[in-house]
Amino acid sequence: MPQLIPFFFLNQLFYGYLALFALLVLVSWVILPYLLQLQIVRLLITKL
Amino acid sequence: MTNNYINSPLDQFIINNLLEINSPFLNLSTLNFSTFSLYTLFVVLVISLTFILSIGGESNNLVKGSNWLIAIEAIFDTILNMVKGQIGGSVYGRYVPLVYTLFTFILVANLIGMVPYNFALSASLIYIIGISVSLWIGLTILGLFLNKAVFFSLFVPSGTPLPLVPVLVLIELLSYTARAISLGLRLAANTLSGHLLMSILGNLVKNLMSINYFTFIFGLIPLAGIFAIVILEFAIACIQAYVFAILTSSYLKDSIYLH
Amino acid sequence: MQLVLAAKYIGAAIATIGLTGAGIGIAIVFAALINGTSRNPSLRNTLFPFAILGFALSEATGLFCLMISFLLLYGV
Repeated sequence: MPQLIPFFFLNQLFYGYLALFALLVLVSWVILPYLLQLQIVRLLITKL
Repeated sequence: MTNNYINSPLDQFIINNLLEINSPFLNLSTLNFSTFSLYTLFVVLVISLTFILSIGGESNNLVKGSNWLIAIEAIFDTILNMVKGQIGGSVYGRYVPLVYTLFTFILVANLIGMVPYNFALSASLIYIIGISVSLWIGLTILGLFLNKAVFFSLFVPSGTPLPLVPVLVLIELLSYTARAISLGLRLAANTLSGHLLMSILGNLVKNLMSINYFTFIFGLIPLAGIFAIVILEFAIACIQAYVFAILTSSYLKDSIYLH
Repeated sequence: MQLVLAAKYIGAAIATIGLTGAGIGIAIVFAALINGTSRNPSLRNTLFPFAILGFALSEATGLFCLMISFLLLYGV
């Protein structure tokens, strides 16, 4: 099992959590607000 | 034509150091840029590039959006409906970013791993079980913060006769603790055994087809079966991301509303 | 040494027996889906995601066995 070599454990965890945290920041600060704005604009155009 | 070196199917999960950081004073091997780090970078790049492509381009009007936006919006609608159906109430909105992040990360990581000769990110048991254990710790802290001591009523199902309570508390505690491992182990074991299966079957058929011309023609039949297995693995790559997200939101509901 | 190797292969083969349970589980899930859909075809879109979820959960238990067998073959 090459992925169970203890030398790489901290390396995997560090970069994995770093990527997940960066993605969480990207999603919750950029992507989801954009989609929310898009849906609000569509609602304004169609319903109101 | 036979190969003389040993081809272990586990060779595809080998992690190499691409960029090493050395220091005479400290052990900085944690910061080494390895294959794993490269593929986490790939995943983040793919997700952000899809978003940049979707808001850029010639049809840059806010209402309609470009064709790339359809992918992002379909995933967003799926996740929103799933979290709304699982958690419900008025507080479900604040948990959407977490579930969306987990779903997109695992989906893109699985699909990148399905490209031939690429590294499967979610087959590394340590990282995936690390994610699930830290999610479980976070959910327990969230439940204790929201419900204070009432949180422990999660371990007693409603309508239990009093003599059965000590036994049931032990069983419920065990099943609650096993969630931490089983959530991640399910995804990692699926990816690991899927990739091993494809690698082993592919090597077998390659050995069969390289004997002579007759077996080359005959070997096309098992090759079609392997193509079917590859399609099944693509489906499993999507289904496992969905299952991870839906179980995360179900556990969130457990720690917010207690049953 | 040869005995240990033989025991390793026998263990890896025995570990795949657990896949019968996964097969029965998947069969039950899809049989229930067919039952439910034939009784009320309008519920098909509601039942299908649950069936897929049940398929994934019961297939994962079988893959644990398969993973143990692969671990015995290549990991030890």
